[in-house]
Amino acid sequence: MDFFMASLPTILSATTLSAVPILLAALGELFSERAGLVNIGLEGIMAVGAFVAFAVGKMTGNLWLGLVAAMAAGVLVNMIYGLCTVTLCCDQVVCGMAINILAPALALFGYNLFVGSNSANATGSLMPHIQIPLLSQIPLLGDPVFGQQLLAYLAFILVPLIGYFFRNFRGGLSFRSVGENPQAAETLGINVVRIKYAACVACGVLAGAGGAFLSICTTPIYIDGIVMGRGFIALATVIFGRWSALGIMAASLLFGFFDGLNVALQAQFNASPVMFFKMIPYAFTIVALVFFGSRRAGPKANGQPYYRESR
Amino acid sequence: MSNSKFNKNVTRRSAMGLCLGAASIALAGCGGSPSSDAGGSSSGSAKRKVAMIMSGTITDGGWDQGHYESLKKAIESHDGWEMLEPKENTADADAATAAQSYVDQDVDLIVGNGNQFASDWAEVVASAIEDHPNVHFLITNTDPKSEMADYANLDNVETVLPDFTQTGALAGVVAGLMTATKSIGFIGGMKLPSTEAKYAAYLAAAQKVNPGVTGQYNFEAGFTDASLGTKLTENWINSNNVDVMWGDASAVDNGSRQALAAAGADTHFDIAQPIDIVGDDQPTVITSTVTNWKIDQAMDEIEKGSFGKGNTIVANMDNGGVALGKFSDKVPQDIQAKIGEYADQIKAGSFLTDAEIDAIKKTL
Repeated sequence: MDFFMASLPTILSATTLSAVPILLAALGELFSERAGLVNIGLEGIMAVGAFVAFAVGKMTGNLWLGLVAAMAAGVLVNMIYGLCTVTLCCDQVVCGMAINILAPALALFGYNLFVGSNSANATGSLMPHIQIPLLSQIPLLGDPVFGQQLLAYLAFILVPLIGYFFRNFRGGLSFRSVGENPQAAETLGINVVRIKYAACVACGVLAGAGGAFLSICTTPIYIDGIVMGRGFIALATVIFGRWSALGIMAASLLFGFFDGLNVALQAQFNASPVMFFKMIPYAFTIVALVFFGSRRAGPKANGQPYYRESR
Repeated sequence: MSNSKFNKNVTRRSAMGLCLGAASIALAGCGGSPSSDAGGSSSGSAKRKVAMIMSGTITDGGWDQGHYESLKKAIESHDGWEMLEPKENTADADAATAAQSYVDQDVDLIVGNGNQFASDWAEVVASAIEDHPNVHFLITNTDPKSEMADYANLDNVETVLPDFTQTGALAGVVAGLMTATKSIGFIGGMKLPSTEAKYAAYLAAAQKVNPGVTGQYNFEAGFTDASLGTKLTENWINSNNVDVMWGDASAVDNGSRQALAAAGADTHFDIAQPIDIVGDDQPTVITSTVTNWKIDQAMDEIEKGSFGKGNTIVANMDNGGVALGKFSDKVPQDIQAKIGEYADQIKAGSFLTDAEIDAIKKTL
């Protein structure tokens, strides 16, 4: 009990720190899958987002510009996926994997050009933490939960907005109908191809922002491999969250909690085999997918190419 | 109804055109300038060439940058040598091919920055002895007895091993004298004998100069997850009052420094390694343990014709292979003087006994 209470602040702050990039990328994937596009290239898009945010933030001294540039870069990379899967009707999984190979290599190439042998460019800066008045004074909970960076707050604010969009907006309903039955949606006058491209744009923006969080909110550097599988965790989070924004947030926080627990255990039990603790968040992901991974709950036309005017 | 494979706005012909266009751009991008010196020959120059193959990037702020700085120093002190552009981010699967490309260019010295190259290069080294006898290999952080036992011939190979006890003891003296809470921490990237040796000497030295100091450690943090460094250090600060950290995990150390800075850069300190990074942009770093990988010594040996036979160059305080970097102004003058005195004892081998270090090792 003493261990848990002493570690609680770390576990809570690690929960949000780990959850936010996954949440952002998973919300992007939600747009994609709601429009019938399974995009497993999140890992690659996040890598590009992380690099671009770091480089532009460093060059301009404005991390918000870095964030916007990362979103734009995410869209640009995801347009390759969109062109291949929506226009050329290629296999979505193969294209996603190609993005996962191409995008981190592009980011590393850009990093080598930007930093090269100039180590002065190797370290950027971080967004400041913002303490919410009164709430951040709550014992134990206050600072770790209500002392986040603005981008983290924005990520959590997005959750109800996106949920509301899919439930109540005409555009949101169009997304859902395209993901369920694009042929039927087309007969209702919905431009399926346009919706799918819009989903690619939203996915690129949010996954790019998720990557940016890693290099402008978590650590002020870019390093090859910085995403460390978070893109794939985000994919699992969408399934575990049953394709709902609220469910995705809960799943992201749960993953973050287990990641925080893993760190607390590593920190306090030095002589134990820490590799065992490191498995905890990933083992949780597998267990969650076993119990909640049924794709029957997802959009019916998910992952299937759409041929306009075919039945 | 329609048999079109694509949606209407792109035809098969335009898709092929798109692919050809992309391929042309890619090929144009891949075409290097013929005058590029990366791996190229310098006709008319009699200079010897040295190339480095590394696992990360030269600006990682840790292991790889430390090797690159050592190589630059060696070149600065050797007019008769020129450096080829290092091959960065070399995966294990590509390590042999990368080395062979330099062998084919008759590069005089090929440096591999880590013991993983010892297992990757066995065949390249064997064939180079036959076909390119003037090519030499230097592999760092490698014990030839245990890690190159499968090599049939070591005539063109040497390794470098830093004195990890000295490195750890230097960091431990600084930590022991600077901690106000008697609680210090260490993060290592991988659980290796060298990592344990460093930590054991670090804690033993800290306890010698400040009895009662306790240590927190993690030996398997990897080298890329900076957020893990932040979270681990934050936990140790909250739970164990750790106020001085020493890291051996590249990017993870950077994350650790974020947590120290958040807790207060005037009361929480970091000892960096393996390059000297004290400066205004690193408010928590009070000094660095610096490793010089003695590539200069290997160059000297090649010039004299004495390089090879699987010898090990020991980088230590005597030959400048191990040293403390600059101090920040957060280290008071009297503490700096004490550190200097202890450093002399470490150099002379009279500071820590093997028994003191082994006593720590047994607890790990």
